[in-house]
Amino acid sequence: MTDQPISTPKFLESLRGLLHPTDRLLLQEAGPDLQVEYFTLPKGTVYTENPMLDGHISIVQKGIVGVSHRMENLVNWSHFYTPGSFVFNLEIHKELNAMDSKWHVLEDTHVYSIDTNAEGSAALERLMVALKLQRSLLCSYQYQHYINEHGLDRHDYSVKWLRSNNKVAAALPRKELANFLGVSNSSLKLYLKEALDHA
Amino acid sequence: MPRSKVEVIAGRLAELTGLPENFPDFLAFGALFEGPFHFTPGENIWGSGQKDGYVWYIQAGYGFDKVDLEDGTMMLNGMIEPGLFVCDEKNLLWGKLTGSSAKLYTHTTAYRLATDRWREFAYQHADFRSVLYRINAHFLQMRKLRLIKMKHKDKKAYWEETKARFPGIELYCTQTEIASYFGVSKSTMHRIMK
Repeated sequence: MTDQPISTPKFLESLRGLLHPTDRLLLQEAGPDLQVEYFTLPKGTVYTENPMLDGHISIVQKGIVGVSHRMENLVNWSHFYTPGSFVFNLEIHKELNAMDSKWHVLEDTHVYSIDTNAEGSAALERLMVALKLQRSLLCSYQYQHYINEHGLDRHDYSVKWLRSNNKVAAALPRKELANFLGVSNSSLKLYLKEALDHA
Repeated sequence: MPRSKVEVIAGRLAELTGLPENFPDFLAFGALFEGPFHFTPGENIWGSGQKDGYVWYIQAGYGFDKVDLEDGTMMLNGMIEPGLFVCDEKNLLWGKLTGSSAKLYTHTTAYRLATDRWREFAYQHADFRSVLYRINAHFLQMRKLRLIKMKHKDKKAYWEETKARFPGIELYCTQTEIASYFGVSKSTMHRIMK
């Protein structure tokens, strides 16, 4: 981990987007006190927990992290973090991980991060209270988003997903990719062809 | 003797968390709610595209909440039942127009709290925030399970389980809304239901 100067406008823009509109000014007020950290998660690592990110809000700058869970002895991919994604370690927190969720680092992954327990000015503390509340809500809402995506037509969704996530698709064995998209191996073959034809 | 609004809401929070009913933040939180509001079968508690958002507490009554999907269809999301706090999460998180609806199929009694007042309360009460974080962590686990079930559980068995949990579901939700809930096409859902 290294401390980076706040030359990270995209990260700060994403943090701004995480806040409720009525709280976005807090980021301007507390900006000078904000300490942005930079982590690298090495390719091939599987995290069953990541206490280093306790209390953090992180965003992927570069790389891919896949998330798997276990149900009735099956390992299932549920989603992938790619550049711009928020990453919270609550989903793999030791005490809350009944489904054996894991992070699989599929490429060297660089994340910008802030520690919401950082102390400082009153403005910084107000900002952190607002960010912690949003993090708590978003951790759960992210899964609602994945649920909503899975409610979409499988054919259309799969083709669109394969087109915009070709690097992730290439990193997974076909069987696991079909399992992730919730389609059969033969459907996946057709959808891959369709995605490539329109690429 | 009927319980007051504050007792009802504080009592439910105590049940959910194991903390005492007279926990000061629960009493103060309960006091902020408006109501009771009474709904008749077929009425919406809220609909899509509304600017004003509320956190609702359902004291009595049943219904279904449905989420607007990106392709313009709606997906059945879950059941509304007594003891639940429900809201439109996009509206709660970012003040956006509601992207869901909640329709009732029985007479219902509920209380509501405007989301801006909810937020203000959370900011001012650190103990309440801690409780909220625990509840949200629980939701995260529930949704993980729901997502994986939706993707990989045997659909026929999942339909039987859902029918048993939500009696009358076919009467109040379209086949398309139910099909989305299971992540299958309408024709596959038709076969499963037969």
